[in-house]
Amino acid sequence: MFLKKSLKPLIAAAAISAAVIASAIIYFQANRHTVYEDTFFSMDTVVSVRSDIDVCKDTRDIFKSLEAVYDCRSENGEAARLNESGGLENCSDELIRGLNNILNLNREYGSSVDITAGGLTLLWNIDSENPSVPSEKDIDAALETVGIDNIKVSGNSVTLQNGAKLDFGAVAKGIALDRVKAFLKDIDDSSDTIVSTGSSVLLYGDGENGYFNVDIKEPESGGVLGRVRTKPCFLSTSGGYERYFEADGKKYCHIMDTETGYPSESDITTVTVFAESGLLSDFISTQVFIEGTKGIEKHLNAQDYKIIAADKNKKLYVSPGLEFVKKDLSYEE
Amino acid sequence: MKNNTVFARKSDIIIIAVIILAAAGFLLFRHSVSSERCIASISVNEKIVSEIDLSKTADGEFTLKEIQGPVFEIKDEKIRIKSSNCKNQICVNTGFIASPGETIVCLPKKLVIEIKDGKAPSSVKTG
Repeated sequence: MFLKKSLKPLIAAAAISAAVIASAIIYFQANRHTVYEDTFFSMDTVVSVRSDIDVCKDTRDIFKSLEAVYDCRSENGEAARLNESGGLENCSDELIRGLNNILNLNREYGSSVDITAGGLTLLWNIDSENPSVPSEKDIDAALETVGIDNIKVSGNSVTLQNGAKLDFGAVAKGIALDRVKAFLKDIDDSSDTIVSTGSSVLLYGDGENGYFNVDIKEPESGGVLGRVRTKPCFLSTSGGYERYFEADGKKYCHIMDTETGYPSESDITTVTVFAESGLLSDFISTQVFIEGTKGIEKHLNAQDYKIIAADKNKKLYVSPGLEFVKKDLSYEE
Repeated sequence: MKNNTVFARKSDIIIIAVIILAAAGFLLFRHSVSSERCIASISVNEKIVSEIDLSKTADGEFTLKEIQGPVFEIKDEKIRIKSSNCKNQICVNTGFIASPGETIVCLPKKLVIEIKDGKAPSSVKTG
């Protein structure tokens, strides 16, 4: 009788503890999928990550480590040291891999996007406090240093000929997003993840029944030009409407035209490229912008990517097969 | 009598049921709260200086002591930087934001306003 009596509260206590532990487990399971939003500065821009807390942290680490490789403006960057010295014997595997991938794209798609434009971008320096139009003489001198043939890669050693200076600004964010996706696949992460640098985005996971919605910004109003429904992929936007300066009533954007040595005077106001690689979407969006509408036909029907672009007359160019819904009715398809 | 030694008493079962229900209720409550909120998170140099629940904040303008220059405005559950003393004015030109994932950025000041809702992401704005 004594035993039986003392057993009852024990059983009750055990049951209650089990219930508490069970709810704690349910709670932490639910919490595991809580979405965190992390924002940090890297590669001259803001990176925002929406995912679970581990992915947010890892993404930050990946960006910081790649920034140390591709940064050509601060002396900590490997690219900056390469520019300074004109050649390095023991470049990191990451830099070599990046260089080779970019040069492969140049071989396939041409050299409108030229990472040896560093001399020009440095001369114009449009992100500085008081940017101005350089002299013809300086522009010509900088143009002399531009050309992808000036890059010689052999094993892990890189030589820059003719005073060429590298600038990975057009592609580094795409490369970083590629590395983030490779990492997510490696750890077999299942959480929905969006990493955005503002102009380049990684969409990863299931989204809404396998699809993500991408709102394309209207260049003048900042409103929404239209919405693209897409499976997980990479996308990059290029335009001259955000980073530019004005001199004598003329706008100079941040994208250099290596044909002229001046900022691109594209008739395209905004272009977004969707691809299976962040480097490719970054590269092509810059290329489409520089080439303007006269070169757009081949991009509209490309195999490896899809584009949506608008020109100064508010005409839209949309790749067949891209699920695009126009929101701003002042544009014409 | 023997039953009592094997199973808990009726009152014990009620207590356990109440605890489980409370736990479930708490989870549901958390879920409903997190799915309704739209928070504008303002950070300077990667440190959050203000978090504003847009659905509960009256229209108006304000400044923050942590950052000199920008004037913030909240209107119809949207937020913008109304004016700022920075050179390029990109933050001002961005206009109002309200949807999860949207951001206003002032790079020179390392200022970011981000809309958060705590839900799994399925949409993004680019450009």
